[in-house]
Amino acid sequence: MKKRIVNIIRYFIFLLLVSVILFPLGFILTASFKSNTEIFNSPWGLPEEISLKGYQAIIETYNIGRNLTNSLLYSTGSCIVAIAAASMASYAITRMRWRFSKAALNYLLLGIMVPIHSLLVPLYISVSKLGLPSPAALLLIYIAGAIPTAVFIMTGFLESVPYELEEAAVIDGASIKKCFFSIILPLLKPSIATVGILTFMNVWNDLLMGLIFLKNQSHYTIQLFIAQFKGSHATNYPVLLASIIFSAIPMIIIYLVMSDRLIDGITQGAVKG
Amino acid sequence: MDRMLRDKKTIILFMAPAILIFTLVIPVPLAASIGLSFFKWDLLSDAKFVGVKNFIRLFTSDRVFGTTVRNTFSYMLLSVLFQIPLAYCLSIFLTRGKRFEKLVRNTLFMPAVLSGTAVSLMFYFIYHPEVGLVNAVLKLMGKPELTRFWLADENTAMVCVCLAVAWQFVGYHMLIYVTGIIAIPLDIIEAAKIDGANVWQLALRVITPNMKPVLRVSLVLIMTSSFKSFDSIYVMTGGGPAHKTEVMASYMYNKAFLNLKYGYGCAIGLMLFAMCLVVSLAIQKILADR
Repeated sequence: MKKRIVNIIRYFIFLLLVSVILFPLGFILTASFKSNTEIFNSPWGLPEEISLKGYQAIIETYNIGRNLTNSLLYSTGSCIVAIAAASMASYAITRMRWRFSKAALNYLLLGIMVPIHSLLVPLYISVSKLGLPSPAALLLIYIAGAIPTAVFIMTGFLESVPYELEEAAVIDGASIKKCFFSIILPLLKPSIATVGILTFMNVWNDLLMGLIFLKNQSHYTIQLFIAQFKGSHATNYPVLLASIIFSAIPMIIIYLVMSDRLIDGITQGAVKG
Repeated sequence: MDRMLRDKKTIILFMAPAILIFTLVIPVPLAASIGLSFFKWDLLSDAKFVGVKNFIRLFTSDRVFGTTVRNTFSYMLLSVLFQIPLAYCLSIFLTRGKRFEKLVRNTLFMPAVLSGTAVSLMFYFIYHPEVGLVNAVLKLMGKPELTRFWLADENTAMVCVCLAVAWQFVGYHMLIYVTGIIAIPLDIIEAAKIDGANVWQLALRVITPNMKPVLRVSLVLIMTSSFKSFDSIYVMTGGGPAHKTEVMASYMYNKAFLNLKYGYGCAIGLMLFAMCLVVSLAIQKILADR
């Protein structure tokens, strides 16, 4: 009997916890289908009739597709380059024999300690003085920001992998490059997934760097797009709400599809970083 | 094999991309930042060397900077208070091997994958004086006198911002603790149970002592991210009302990129870096494994 009461309380708390998270999201979702007048007159309750005006406006008038594409390009681009550069460096650091390997590792890991905020001004000045196209510069900055953590995760992983496979391959006549591509990269898959998830998420969710470097509206990321509705500009609520939903949906889908992988990656990145 | 692994050319080829990109974007600007902080420069006219004047101004004549440092620390304190105790209790409550536990954990974690911008906009709307959820609830409960402009009221703005941030990240810190609890060898817990330990004793005597490393991680994460907090402030309050929620990162952004005081902005950025470093080293030291 006592056990039963405890269980009822437990599941009641479960329900409460889940609704604390889902209720605000649901509130935003339902409100996004209301018209501006209905949002004002009845903040509560379901929409009387489903109005897609907000969604229609951000797709047709504001062309949100372009911003989503931009964000996708920045995120995948920085993922690919960061993974390539970091896996090569991690291989050279953990496997190859040279005097400065430890020093090189420590040098790259210093990057974890530096908040990007203290670098923004000189970065901005050099980008504008050198006349670099801002999307390319931004991509480079995202990549550099991802490298230290990536190297940390990958070298940590490689150190736990025994050499035997590579030795056998070398005896069979494989070159270093062959070792790297056909043995190390496949072995690194779990770390690559972790690094990929972390990098993709950080770049997709970044606001500050985009705000500073992107001047041309056609290069705007999704976060810059939704941030323009902040504060006093926000009087057209259906548009504001629809854009919140739009920006959140890709990450929510990724989360639902691979929540375990993602949680693993993020907590690993945190605990190790 | 040894000769192959010592091949200089391959080493250089493998290291070059990472080292080059990293060096160009992090160490070089860091050095430049230190240099620039001694100048007064708006990028239009020539840079003027002013020595340590920028730093002197930060600490003497710039009242707002002092406010932003205080605000940054209250943001940090509120974040720690709102997130760590709750996340800790949740992590113990949700690792008891019951049904639906994992579902609840994963749901609590979900907001952490959303962007700070989206979550901040969401709460901007929820706190909205006319159409927001909070005031609507208060009116429904028959307490209209409690309704207010949550984010524009200097008494509530910072607390409201930190609550929104906590909503987003409590699940994240909870999961960090969960990984710590799962890492505790099962036989220790079993042994304690056989010895007749109840839930509270288990939590206090067995789990907590093993949690130091993960607690340290999450504390450092909250503290450093408080120094870097920008999105939530920028979107929800813009630093207002009257600098009540202005934090170091948003102040740096305003000074450098809106008022075009680049050297001064650098000085603020460096102070942010230094404080971040000091605080995280201090935590590591205080909570070091003995």
